[in-house]
Parts: sequence; structure tokens; C-alpha cells
Amino acid sequence: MKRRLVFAILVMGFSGIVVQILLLREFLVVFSGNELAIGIILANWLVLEAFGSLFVGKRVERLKKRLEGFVGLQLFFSLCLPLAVYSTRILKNLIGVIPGEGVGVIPILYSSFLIFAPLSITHGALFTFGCKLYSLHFVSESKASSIGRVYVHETLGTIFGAIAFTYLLVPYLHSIQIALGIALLNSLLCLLLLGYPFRKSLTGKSLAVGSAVFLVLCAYLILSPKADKIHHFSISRQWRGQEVVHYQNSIYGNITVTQRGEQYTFFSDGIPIITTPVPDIAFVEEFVHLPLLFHSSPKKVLVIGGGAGGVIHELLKHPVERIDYAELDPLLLKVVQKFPTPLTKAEITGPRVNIEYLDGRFFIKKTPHKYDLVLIGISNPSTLQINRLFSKEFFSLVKERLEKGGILVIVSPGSLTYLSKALGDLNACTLNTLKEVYPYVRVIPGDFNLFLASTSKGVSLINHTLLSQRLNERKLEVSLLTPFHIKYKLDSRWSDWFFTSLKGTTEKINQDFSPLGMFYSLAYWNSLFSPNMKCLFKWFEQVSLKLLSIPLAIFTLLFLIICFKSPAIYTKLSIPFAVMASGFAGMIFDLALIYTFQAVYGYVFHQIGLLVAAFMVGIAAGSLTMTSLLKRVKRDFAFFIGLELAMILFSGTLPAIFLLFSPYLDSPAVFSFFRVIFLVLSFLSGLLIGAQFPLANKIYLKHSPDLSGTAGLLYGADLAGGWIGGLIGGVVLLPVLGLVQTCMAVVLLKMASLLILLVPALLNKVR
Amino acid sequence: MEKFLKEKGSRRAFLTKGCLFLTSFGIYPGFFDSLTKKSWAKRDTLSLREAMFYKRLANNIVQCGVCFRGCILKEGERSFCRNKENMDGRLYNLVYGRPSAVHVDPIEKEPSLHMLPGTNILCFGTAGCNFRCKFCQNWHLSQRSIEEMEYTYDLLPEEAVKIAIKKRIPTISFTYNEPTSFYEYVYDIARLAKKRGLRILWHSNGGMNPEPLKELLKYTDAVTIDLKGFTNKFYQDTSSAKLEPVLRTLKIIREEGRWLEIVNLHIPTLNDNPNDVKKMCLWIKENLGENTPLHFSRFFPAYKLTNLPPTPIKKLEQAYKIAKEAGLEYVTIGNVPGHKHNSTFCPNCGKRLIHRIHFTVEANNLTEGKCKFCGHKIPGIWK
Repeated sequence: MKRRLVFAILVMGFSGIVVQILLLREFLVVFSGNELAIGIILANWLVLEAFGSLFVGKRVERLKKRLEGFVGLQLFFSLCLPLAVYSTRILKNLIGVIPGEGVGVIPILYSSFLIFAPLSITHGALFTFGCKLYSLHFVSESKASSIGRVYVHETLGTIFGAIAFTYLLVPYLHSIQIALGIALLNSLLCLLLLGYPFRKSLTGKSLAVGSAVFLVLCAYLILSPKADKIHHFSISRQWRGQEVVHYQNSIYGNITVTQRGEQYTFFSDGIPIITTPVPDIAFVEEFVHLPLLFHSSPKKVLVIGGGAGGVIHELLKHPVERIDYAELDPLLLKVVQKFPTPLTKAEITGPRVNIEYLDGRFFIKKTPHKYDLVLIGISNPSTLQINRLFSKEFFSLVKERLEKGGILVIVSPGSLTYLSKALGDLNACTLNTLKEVYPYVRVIPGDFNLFLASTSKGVSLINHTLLSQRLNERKLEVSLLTPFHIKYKLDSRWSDWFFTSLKGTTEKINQDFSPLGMFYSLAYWNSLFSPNMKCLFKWFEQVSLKLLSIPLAIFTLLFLIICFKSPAIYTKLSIPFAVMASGFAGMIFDLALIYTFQAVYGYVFHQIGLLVAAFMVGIAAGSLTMTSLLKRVKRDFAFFIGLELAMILFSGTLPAIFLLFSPYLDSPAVFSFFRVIFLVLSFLSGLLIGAQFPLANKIYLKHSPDLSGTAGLLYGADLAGGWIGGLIGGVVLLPVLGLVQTCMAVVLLKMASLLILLVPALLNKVR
Repeated sequence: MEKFLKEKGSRRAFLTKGCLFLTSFGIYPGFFDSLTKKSWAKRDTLSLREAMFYKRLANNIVQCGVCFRGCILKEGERSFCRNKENMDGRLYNLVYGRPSAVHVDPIEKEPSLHMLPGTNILCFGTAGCNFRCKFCQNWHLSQRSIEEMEYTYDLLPEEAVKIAIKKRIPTISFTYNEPTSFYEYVYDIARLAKKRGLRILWHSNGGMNPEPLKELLKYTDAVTIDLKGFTNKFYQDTSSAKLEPVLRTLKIIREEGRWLEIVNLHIPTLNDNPNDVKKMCLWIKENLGENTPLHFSRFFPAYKLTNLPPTPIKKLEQAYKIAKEAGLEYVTIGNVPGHKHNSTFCPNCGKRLIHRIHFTVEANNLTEGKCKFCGHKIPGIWK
């Protein structure tokens, strides 16, 4: 039984992470997610799981048939899983939006909540049930170390799950197969747990029958073509009215191709990005030809993202010698080639085109070449990852790679009718940042605004006559650009109006360590779907460390006063608060490390995975070591305080390390060494958080002998902290406060939790 | 707290209340706004323009008569288009003299292709609209109220007309958002502008009621109407509106003898059914005449409609063919720069009359409103 139980807990961790990533990815295709959507979806998972472990999990104490309870939950979890994938796909039909309509924050919030609810609540409860069962079967273990062991095994399962999902499941299976597979695994486990000694009770028997039936059903669906049928049916429902001719996932996301007559449209996570054979002519011609005409003789051009499907085709019309094109996801161009047109063929296989499947930021760092023009084909920093192409640091990198007279070209959403504050902020932030690095920035307003940044005066001085002259000289075969059109685009009335409308918008700039561009992008997106929440973002924009520290100080003070009056509350709530603060800290460390790593080394999927793995291994190692130490440790409380102090120290030094190294990153030795530092830091932050959890349980159990209540409460507190960290930290704190101040916010929070722990304890001693 | 947590009943009550509170954020859309919103009603009523065509019912209730919706408003209530408010039993237009967009555009952008080709228009737009199109290009204006505007211009009709005269722009246009929603402003400017010899053009969704429409047409030269689709379902689902009032408007404009052009934005999967297109074209021919210009426009993802492909060119060409077969003489394709049918061709000799590349007029082969090649009379406003 013992082995089976350990196996069950491993599977629980494994299933949890697979389901979480699987559904997140399905949601992102539906919602075309930005950082806020990702944050909300993950946050919902965490908060529901916390709820499950705390409120549902607790019931295990009053339950007589605990194993049956555990199995029942697991079976329910398995049943819900394929249904959740299916209902995510048909979600838009369910919530009543028309085909092709996007949705805003509120539908994302409630629909992911509702779809996750049965799964995450059950999964959370399984943790608490698992702890109880573990302590019953491993009688030699103390209560606290039981919880610790379960935590360790669950984390190990999570690590396996994440690795298996990325390398084994995504490349070969579709979501319905994965969901059925996980369901199969879980129902198999149900049988295994019930099997021997055979349960004689009616509940046990019926559960066994239920599991067996479900197992056979899952196996049948997977082995027969039925799973594919369900998959195709749900996709056709998801893409109502369109004919889906290709649907594939890569590690980066989903690529779907739809056909309508002779036209193919390539969607990346639900957003159309390439249309063949006729692209958005107005966009590609203005985006390519206007900048290239600004340059007297463009020879070498770099395109970062968005090159295929028209842009490179237009570039090739100029007498350029070399076009480098950095595209992150190889799958995109592979799929484009599956549905070839003369245009895309010339773009992808043309002799002057050199494609690199790399993160653009990474490419620009490592390339030895210099360019006459660098075109950024992604228009909106809606995630932290994309934001790295809009930061001051990135603009400086590009500047070093520009030939004399070279131009950086960036686009941003725009309007020739009205520039709202949200749209203005987004544009102003990019403009301010460009101006920090480049002395000359020309703006050509339009349905999308074109920014030309250069170190030479040309971009500001050149007028429409010269551009038209060059248009003639280069004998470009174009569909849109005429001398009249160029004159219209460059007319000073537009730029005058643009700059007048920017008055009163932000004066701040976008930096790697304070990614404000992303914040304004989210605020703009939000203004589109939920204008009534506009002022919420206005408040967020005002957030400062000072503003945070005042309520935190008041809260701490009040808490201390209450503890002083009623010691019961102290014992009840001080430890959970500390655990919650650690959950928050852990999430911030994780986010900060991943984000900074991307900023320094570029987005390399496997390395990011390694970083997350180091963090998880840290947690597992921390809790494992602590669990085995538990019996020997005598002064729990002092030890706990020590860990709290270590965490404060860690979040204090984290930004210092980044700042210390960043000036020396140009040296190759430091550059490689720094990579190791990231791994070490990830591991350490996991270690600290992992070590605290079992100890917290031990201390808490001294006053409250209720094992499942304790496990549920503390696990819930940990997740709730992670929830706040993921949502508020990723969307507000990191962009608005910046990395350094966000880490300081963690320091403040951990100091508050330390004070809450320490002051009443010291006062008691004195008394 | 401890006691509170222990009592299951109160915990449940706490959770229920918490959930209710949270959902109330979602259910009541004005929640966050209501925290900061200033009451517009407090603005000096003297500077507001009383609405035209409204009825005063009992108990200080009024009914707006400008568009097909006929909003019935109690004191303090706001119309569907967000622009009119009942103040003490009188209806006022809040955006009068307060445009949010004033620009000079080529007339081809409108589009109004049979009217003074290659000239400029002075365009006005305000906040508000009586439709809720999910693909609106100008949602920043049309789907917002005046309070949500971060800036507006103070521009009374006198001054608006003066700008056009000073800049030597021959035509004033009301566009970007729905002119019906700032009817009084449109009406006053149009009346004044006609006295000064300017042309008046407006681009509308066609939801105006017959009486105000006829009154405004007295001072109008040309109208471009969006015939967004040809089924009521499409109008309901995508625009929260109706088809029938639009058709009525089209007929009235024709009857009153004003120049009329029609735009149809061709949205994949939503309104590109060839049968509907055919029905639409036949209806146009029968009710408005074969010489009514019809422009099929390529759709690109916009506003909330972000997950659809752009219109395939073949679909637009198919629609073009259907329209020609139905007997319509002036059919063009828009938003596809460089397309042959972006230009206007003579229905008699088939030669290219106006060579257009997007907003550029490359060649104009009309002399005194007639085809240069065959002398066929081309309807429109040419001088």
C-alpha cells in the first residue's frame, strides 16, 4: 500500500501540472492571451486549488472511508478533465459571443474560473487527503513530516509532468489525447489503490466498477479513431464557420490554418498573423517601403518577427543584398511552407533571405553583422516576453548593430481619428524610450503608427518629394504607394495632431527592469474591452513602494495589537501569514528570474524550462531536507525565523546581483558565468520556500493537532500567496515598480511577516 | 476571527457574500466608473442644445425621435447612443459643439466616389453611436460617451464652417461616428454651410427616422450609407440594430433626390453569403436604381472582431460579379490597394473613368459629368 500511495501522490503532482499547462494553452487559443490573461488563468487555478485543499480537504478528518474518498476525488478529477478541454474549446459558443469576437477581462475571469473549478478544487483536496492517508500508513512519520513528504512527492511529480508535457506529450499528441491519457492514468491508479486488499464496502465496490468502466472507455477512445473525431469536432466548433485545414501545437503555442476559397490564414494562438496569397497590402507596403525610402541605399536589413507573408516580399523589391529574418517558432514557417504561394516561397527560400529560428533579442546580441535597417514586425508589447523588443536596453543593442545612417523601425497601434489616453500612453512610452537612445525619431501616424529612429538627422529632415523621387528611381512595383499617398502620409497636419494629442500622456520610459510598455499595452487592451475598468489601471499606474508600505505598516501594527489582546489569533494566523508571504515571494522570484534571464540571454525555451526546473528542484530539495531534519531540529521557531531572515536577505540581494553584473555582461566569461548564477539563484529561491513549508507545518501542529486542517490551511496559504504574486506581481508590481522595487516590496512583506511572528513571541518571553 | 472561521454557517455566508460582491463588479458595468464619474447634468444647461424631434410624455418623461430606437427616457436618463439626456423633462444633446475629431481627409477615404474626385473634405466626429458594431474602426469615439473623451474641441457651427472656408475645403463631412447621434450639431452646421456655398456629405449607418432624415436632407448634397449586411440576424448579432430602418433610409434618400452611395464591409463567415449578396444587389437595383454606386470593402480584424481572417480577394470579386450581374452599374472594391476595381468604369463603353489607387486619383476621364470616351452621362456631383 505504501508504495502505491507514494505513486498516487507522484501521479497527483504529474497530473496537476499537465492539466494546468494543457488548459492554459487551450485557453490562450480561445482568449489570444496577453500577460494579464495568463496571470488571471494561472491565478484562478491556484486560488481554486487553495480553496480545495483548505475547505474540501479538511473533510477527510470526519470521513470514515478515507481511501475511498481519495479514490472518489481522483475519479471525479479524471472524469472532469476531458470535459474541461472540450468545454474550453467551445467556450465562445457557450458564453454567447459571435464567431471571431475577442473577449475581455471579465469573461476570461469567470469562464476560466468555472472550467477550472471542478478540477482544481478536487486537485487541492487530493493534497490534503493524501497527507492524511500518508500519515495513516506511515505511522513512524510524525504528522509534520508526513505533510513534508507528500509535498516533496507532489513536487517531484510536478517536475516529471512539466518535462513530459513539453518533450513527450505536446510534440506527438493533441489535447484530447493528452486529457484522455491523464484520465486513464488516474483511473488506473484508482483501481490500483482499491484493488488489494479488495474493498468489501459498497462504496469501494462501486468505485472500483466506476473506475474500471471509465478506464476501458478512455482506453477505447484513445485507441480507436474516436479521440481524433472528438478533437476535430471540437476544433470545428471552436472555429465556427471557418474551414480548419491545419492545427498544430509547438512548444511556443498553437498554429491554426483556415482556408476560405483560395485564401489561407495562419493564426498564432487565435490571432490571424499571415494571410496568403494577398496580405494586408496597406500595412506591408507602408511598413516596408516608407522606411526603406528614407534610407539612401538600404543593403542589409534585419527583420525581427512578422517577416513572412508580405513584409519580406516587399523588402525584396529594393536593391537589398541581405535580409536576415529572426523568427522564434520554426513551426510557423514550416506550416506556411505546407500551403505554399509564390510570394511566401520567395520569402522563405529566396537567395537573399537568411532565416534564423531564434529569439530576436538573442539574435541581435550574437550577430556579428551590422544593418542599414532593423524592422520589428511585432507591434504590441502585450507580454513580458515581447516587451523585451520595446525596452531601452534593446533599443541600445540595436543601435550598436546599425550602420551609419541606419534606421530602427517600430510600429504601434494607432488611429487617424482619435488618440485616447490609453492609446496615447502606449505610443508615448515607445516614443519616450526611443528618444532616450536615438537623437532623431520620426513618427508617421496612421492606423498603425510608424516610428523611425536613427542616429542621423536624415529621418527628421527628409520630405515627401525626396521619397517620391526615390520611389521612381528604384522602380518599385507597388500597389498602394503613390507620390500623392506619400505626401498624404507625411503631411505635417498628422504629426502635429499626433503630438498635440500626446500631451498629458506618460513621460516614463520602458526598461528591461521596469517593463512599463507591457503595462500600457494591457491598459490599452483593457480600455477596448472593459472601458469601465479604466480607472483601475489609472490607480495601478500610481502604485509606489511608499504607497504599498503604508497599508502594510498599518496592517502589521493592527495585527500585532490584536495578537497582543488575543494570543489565540497569534497562534492561528501568524504562521499561515508567513507561509502566504513566502508563496508570494516565491512567485515573484520565479517571475523576476525568468524575466531577467530572458532580457539577458533571450528567450530560449529549453533554458527557461531548465530555470523553472531548478526552482522546482530547489523546492523539492528544500522540503525533503527539512522533512528529514524535522525530528532532530529542537528549536523549530528559531529555525523558522532564520529562514524568514534568509528570505529577506535573498530578496534584498537579488536585484543587487543583477545590477552588479549587468555592466560587465559584455565580457564573455562573465556572460557564461552569469548563466550559472541564474540556475543557482533559482535553486536557492526554491530551496528557501521548500524548506519553510514542512517546518511551518510542524510548528503549527503543536497548537492544532488537526493534520488535514493544518495541511490544507498552509498549502492553501502558500497557493494564495502565489496567486497574489502571479497576478499583482506580474501585471502591476514588476512593470510599474520595476525589478528592484518589486524585490523591495517582497522584503517589506517578509519583514511584516517576521515582525508578526517575532514581536508577540518576544513579548511573551519578557512577560 | 477565529470564532468566525470556526462557524461554518458564517463562513458560508462570508463566501456567498464575497462571491456576490465580486460578481457585482462584472454585472454592473459602471462600477469602477461610478467612483469617478462627474455628473454631466450639472453642466450649465444654457450651453447645451435642446434636441430636435423629441416628444414630451407625462411625468417629465421624453421620447427621442431621431433614430429608430425611439428611446423613452425618464429624468436624468441617457439615450442608447449615450449623447442625449433628459434634464427636467427636456431632452438635450450633450455633444453639441464638442467634436472629438476634426480632420481633413481625401473624399476617396469616405468613400464618396462620384463626388468631386481628388478633393478634400473637412470631417467632424463626436463621441457616441446608436449602433454597437463589434468591428467598428472608430470605437475610440463611437463606443464611448462624452465623459469618457480625454479631449474635445469647443467648436460651434459658425466656427466649424469658418474653418472650411478658410482652408478652402469645398465639402464638410460628418463621419467617424454616427451623425444621427449628433444630429442637432450636424443640422446647424449643414444649414449654415449651405448658405456659404459649401457642400454637405455625411456617412451614416442609416438608422435615422424619416422625419429628421427628410429635414436634414434639405441641407445635404450626398450621403454614404453602410449597408452592413442583408439579414436582420447579422444586424442584431454584430451591431445590436435592425436592417429594416436602414432600407427605409436608403429609399428616402433616393426619393429626395440626394446623391447616394452604399458601402458593404464584407466580413468572412458573418455577411459574405453569396445568396444574401445577390438579394441585396437586386433590392438596390429595384428600389434605388442601377446607377447607385456600391462599394465592397475588405475586412481586417478590428475592435472586438479580432479572430477572423481578412476577406479573401476572390470573395470580393465574387460579390462584384454578383452585383454586376444583378445590373448595378457602378460597383467598386475597396481596401485592396491596386485592385483593378478600385477604379470606376464607364457602364457604356467599359473604359476606365476614374483611375484610383486607394485614396489617390491617378486619372479622371470625366468632362462635365460625361465619359470622355463615349459621352455617356455619369451620375454624381462633379463640380
